[in-house]
Amino acid sequence: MFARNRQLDLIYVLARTQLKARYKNAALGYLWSLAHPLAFAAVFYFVFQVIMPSSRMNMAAFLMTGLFPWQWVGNSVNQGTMVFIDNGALIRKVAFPRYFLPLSMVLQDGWHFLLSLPVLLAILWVSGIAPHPGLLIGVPLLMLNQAGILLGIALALGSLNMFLRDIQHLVAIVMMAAFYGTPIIYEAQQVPAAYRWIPAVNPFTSIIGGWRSLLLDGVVPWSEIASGAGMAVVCLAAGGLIYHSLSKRFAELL
Amino acid sequence: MDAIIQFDNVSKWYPSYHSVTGGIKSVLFDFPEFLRSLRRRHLAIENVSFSVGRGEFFGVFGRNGAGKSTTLGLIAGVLVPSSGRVTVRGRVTPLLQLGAGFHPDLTGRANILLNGMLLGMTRRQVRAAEDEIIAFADIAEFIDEPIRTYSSGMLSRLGFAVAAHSDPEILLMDEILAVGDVGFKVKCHQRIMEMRQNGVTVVLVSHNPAELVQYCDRVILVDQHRIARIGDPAEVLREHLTPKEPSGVCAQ
Repeated sequence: MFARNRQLDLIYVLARTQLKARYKNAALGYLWSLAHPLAFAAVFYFVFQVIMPSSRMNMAAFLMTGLFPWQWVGNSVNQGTMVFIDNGALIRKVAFPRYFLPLSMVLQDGWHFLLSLPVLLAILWVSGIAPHPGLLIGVPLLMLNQAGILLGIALALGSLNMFLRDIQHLVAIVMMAAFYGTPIIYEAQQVPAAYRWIPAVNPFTSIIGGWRSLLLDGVVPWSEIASGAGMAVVCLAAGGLIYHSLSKRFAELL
Repeated sequence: MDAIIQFDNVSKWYPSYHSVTGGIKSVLFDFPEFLRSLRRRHLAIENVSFSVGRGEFFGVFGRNGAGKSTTLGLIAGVLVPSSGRVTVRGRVTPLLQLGAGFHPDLTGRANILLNGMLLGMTRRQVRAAEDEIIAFADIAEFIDEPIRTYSSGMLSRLGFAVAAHSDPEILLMDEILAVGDVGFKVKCHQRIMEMRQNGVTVVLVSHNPAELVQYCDRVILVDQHRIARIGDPAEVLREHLTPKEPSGVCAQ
């Protein structure tokens, strides 16, 4: 029923629609997607550099390299949980592949992240970290891993939330915990040995760690790319399985 | 007759989702009731068989809750039958109700693209039909405004215009003819007749017997989740065409 290129076209149009709609009524538009992680970075900078000073060099750069990719994670997981419910009217009427909705949403968030990267790189450069050729290979690979992980999570949570609306409230709490449970405002090595399992099972650790190595340390983080790819496969498989077994019933639930 | 839609002994029942979607609270606090509700089922349609020929104008009539919308959902492919088989040999274009497939913050033009593609058009096809759609919906001066500023009449005109220009093979309509002003209704009527002449199959679900008799080649009367009657509209709907005493209906 759907030809291949028409499918790709539809995913593209859905993603662009969300992109356009996102800041349609905001005068500053895209700047808000920068303002969010920057404001977070400023707050944490104040806390960790002024109130309880840490010995870390270049705290601002450290925070921003974690908070920018986390912005994508937070947006995609929170919106992904709602993505089927929010498009209920459509799901009830039109038989198009439902996974197009989370897929286009994750791509749209990824596009936002990509657009914020030059700004982040410029800020890093000013603070003494120059861009390096490794970015050309590291950025696409890390983005691919991150998109895969987030799509898997969005498929799982979005599907489950159709059946059990409590999921959306749970996700808000879990994501708050996940923010602090992921080495974003601290480093993985700082975690006491007894609690190392937390970042170890956390799908976002390798992602944030990877971005940090790439952007801050100037190396292509092959081990994080490999573990992120493994995590993406696991998330996609689990999310795909849940989606596959539940999606046929979506229209009945709305 | 070449069947484009075929229902073979189709039944559809829904699990009682209410307690599930009611959330964890209802699961935890009333577990026995939750278990019982999992076994409870709502019947929507039972052992329904019919076929619609290519190019036919087919009507579905029935009371609220008789199973009309389920039938439409099964044709559209958004619902899966619990038993039996639904075969559809063609591209189905549901005429979307107000708001479905439209994004309020986007312009009319952007929504035409989104909606047209959801209905199965390619981007190029939408672009090619865009001017015609705008002219048909008669919203040229508002086309670059976000559609949250549109009146409901404008929205339904836009919705119909996109569906009508999406080159449908099977057009599904759910009470849609009831909206819009007189002038637009006439235009809709002409367009539907045009599509019909071009061999488009139309399935119209309606509460309005007169409308079904006016348009349809054949009608099914759905009652108590089954097909009570099928055939010539005037005959099938005979007793529904003459208005009854309201008390007589209530007394049943």
